[in-house]
Amino acid sequence: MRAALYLGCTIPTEQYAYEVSVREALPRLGVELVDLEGANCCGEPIRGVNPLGWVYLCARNLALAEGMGLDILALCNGCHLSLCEVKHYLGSRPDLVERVNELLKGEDLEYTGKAGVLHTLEVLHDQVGVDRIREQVTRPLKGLRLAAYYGCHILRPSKLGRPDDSENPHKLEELIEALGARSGDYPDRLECCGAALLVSSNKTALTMTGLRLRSIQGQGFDGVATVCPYCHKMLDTKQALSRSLLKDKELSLPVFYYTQLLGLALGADRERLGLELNLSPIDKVLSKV
Amino acid sequence: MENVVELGRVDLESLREIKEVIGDQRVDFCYQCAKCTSGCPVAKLLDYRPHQIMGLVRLGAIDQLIHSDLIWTCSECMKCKERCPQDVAPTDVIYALRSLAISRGVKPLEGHLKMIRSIQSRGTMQPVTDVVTRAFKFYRRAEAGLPPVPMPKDLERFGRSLLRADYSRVLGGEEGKP
Repeated sequence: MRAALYLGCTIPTEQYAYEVSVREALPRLGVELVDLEGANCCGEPIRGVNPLGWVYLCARNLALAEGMGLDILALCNGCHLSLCEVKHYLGSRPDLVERVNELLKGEDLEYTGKAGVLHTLEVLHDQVGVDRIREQVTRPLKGLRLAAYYGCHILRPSKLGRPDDSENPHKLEELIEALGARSGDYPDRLECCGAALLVSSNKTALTMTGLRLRSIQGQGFDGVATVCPYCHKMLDTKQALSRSLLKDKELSLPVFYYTQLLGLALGADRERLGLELNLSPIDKVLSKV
Repeated sequence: MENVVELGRVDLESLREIKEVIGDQRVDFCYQCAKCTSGCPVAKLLDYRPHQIMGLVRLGAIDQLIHSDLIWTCSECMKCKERCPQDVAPTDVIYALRSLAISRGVKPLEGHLKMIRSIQSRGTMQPVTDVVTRAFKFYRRAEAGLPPVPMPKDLERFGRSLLRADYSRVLGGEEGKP
């Protein structure tokens, strides 16, 4: 399959490991990635501040993909929900479509709603398929037990049609198991990482993150697999800050992007998966692979 | 905010504006079951109760809410929206309150302003940053063999369109008047 790769903001400006590992792993599974040139922020972080601006920003990205004749692959949960939600609104609001197209006209763009929106989880689970991944694994992640961390926006709100079931998702666990590792249920599986609170209350955000990490660690997992740059930023990049805020010296949990683990299992060169960028203690997992 | 009896006037005009954004009768259907609050991750950490916010909206205490920190304290996890038995979608009501606050002159949080200015000038909510690896080395996008970050080709035109999409409410100026 071919898809227009939409990176959003967080991934191409700081969460490089996601982008690097996607570019390395997905083509190995027959996914051809075409960069969505000219893209802009999806507007998710400011949707409450300026609703029409948010609609314009999403519609512009969708119009760009339409121009390429491709569906969008959004790696970020926030972008995915944002694009899907705007597409949903515009479907029943021809007045808004007209207004947005008025704004897009200057750039020779037009929104008609043709481009679909996919998330990493959907491309891997629904398009590539668990069987194909399992068949292509050359370096199984045997002996590891990894927690699936979905994040909020690919699960909710289900009315919009989300990549997985809102109360009992299973796709990420299946994808983890396809790599030869084990997964399993845990109490905080559907919980929020706290990232959206960074703007208004840094401490609350980091406390929330710490509680998630503590809960997962308490269940005896060897590590976590994420599919969202915000979740990863909180659980991995900010793990040390969260640890000191909670004054919990025991808190120490390896966190990976799922696509990094996928790359490892598919036999990709370790140097090409952005593994040096994870700030959580992933070496204790890597030494077992 | 705890004592709703002490609230002053009922702001029906604002209530109408909120309902225009979220759909006419949704807030009225809230029967205070507090399912939203029971799942709310912020309620577990702070004195924050989404069902109380919905109650205040129903009572028309909009002015108090839009000048309160409460509406900026939602973590946007969407659990309340998913689980509300009455389809009230507290998250959406909170988004509507935020937007109403801005249009009434409440200053956005510094973090939001920064993001908006950045989107307008480069298309993304923050500039490309150098990060540090686990081994304390700098990692720079350009040196890592990654392509340049996509951005609108004609940034000036893009920025102008954004202003016309009502950004003026946040950044000031007349151009964006709807």
